[in-house]
Amino acid sequence: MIIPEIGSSFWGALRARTLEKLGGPSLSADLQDTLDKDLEAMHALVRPRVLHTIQEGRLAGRNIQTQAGIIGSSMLFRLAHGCMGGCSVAFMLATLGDGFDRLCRDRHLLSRQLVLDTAGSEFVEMVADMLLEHLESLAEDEGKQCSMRFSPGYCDWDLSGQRVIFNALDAGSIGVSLNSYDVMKPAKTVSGIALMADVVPFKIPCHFCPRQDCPWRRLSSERPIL
Amino acid sequence: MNDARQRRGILAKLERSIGDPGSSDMQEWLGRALDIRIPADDLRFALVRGMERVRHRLMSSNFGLPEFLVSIDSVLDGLSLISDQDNTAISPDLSLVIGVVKGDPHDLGKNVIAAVYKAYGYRVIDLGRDVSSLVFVESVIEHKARILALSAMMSTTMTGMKDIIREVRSVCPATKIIVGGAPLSEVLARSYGADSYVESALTVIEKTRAMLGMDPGYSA
Repeated sequence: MIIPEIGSSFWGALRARTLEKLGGPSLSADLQDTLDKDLEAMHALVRPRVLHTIQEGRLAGRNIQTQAGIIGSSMLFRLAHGCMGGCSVAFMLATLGDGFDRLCRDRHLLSRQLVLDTAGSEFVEMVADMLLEHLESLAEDEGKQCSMRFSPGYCDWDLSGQRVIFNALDAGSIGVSLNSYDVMKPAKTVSGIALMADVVPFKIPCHFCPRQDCPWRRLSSERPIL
Repeated sequence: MNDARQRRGILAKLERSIGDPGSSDMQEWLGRALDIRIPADDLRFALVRGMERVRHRLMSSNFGLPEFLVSIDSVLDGLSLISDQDNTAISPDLSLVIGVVKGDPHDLGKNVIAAVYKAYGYRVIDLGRDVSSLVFVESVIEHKARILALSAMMSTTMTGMKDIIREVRSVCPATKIIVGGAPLSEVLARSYGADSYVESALTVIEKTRAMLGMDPGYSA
């Protein structure tokens, strides 16, 4: 487990990202004040934790097979299929922990809930990005490349894919659990995988996906490779 | 000042108080209105008119949802104060069942939409998140819901809407179904058999009224 270092520049970036999501500088002074108070409260109460492990990946049928289980996504399979020099799978978890959920329980007004929830979402995404950067540096040390991160429930990877990630990681050690519907607790937790290989020609599966209007598309105008 | 003029003045102030930070002005004008026994329905309509004014202003500008929610919070606060005195709803016949489909834990969007409906006088039965098809069907039957509102935020869970819509249609064909959520689109919603698709809390009331064949007025 790595405890991410959250410096002052992180809080400034988190404020800017959250403000952008909420409508930018045109957000009322009252709600900007709410955001600043939320950031202070998060600074005091939230202790993010991350976890990762790397396993060998093997292409089996139209899936990726790992020791923890099968990653059942045709899009990720195609991504792995394009990798050169063997393919490993990095499993990852990032969470804000219970502290953030406790903060949410005190918010009764919807406008305040939205501000706090948006800040929490951006916070955990930034922590997950930091974890990915760490994985990229590990890969680089071995002369390898790393894809972007993917989470169960998105693209064509079913939410049940959470179980593979939880098989691979001791999620309880950072206070994260999975219920029978594959929903994680605490609420602001990101799970995912990244592929590692000598050469990872495509970092994202959007190259193979025809759905141009997907809200999570990470390519803007590129034609799909079909 | 005569009574009618005084009442009109207070109602106008009440309407304009919606959307201001906090609810202090709204509470003050509502308190005055209740003191002189202005009918509850007049007060509710003043709150909703205020919310509509805010909504239209926000729709024509670049900022929207957070400020709209400030006005929703204020209206819900006001409606709660009015209900303490008079608990008849504006349109008790317009019952609506809302929930997030099974497997999906994201409920903030659904909470926002539920609050908008409540503020506009709909009788809202909120089933929460991760709701099975059976629970949706049973709830629509139990509450004789005229509207079913479904939400999904994940591409893997949104497909579950198709089964829910089919099952609700088979037992309650008159119930209108509206769907929303980030991965959806108008085309997908239609392909699932929904009557309407909504992409924003700012337009949900207009979409709902159009779906019901009602005039695009501001209340339920």
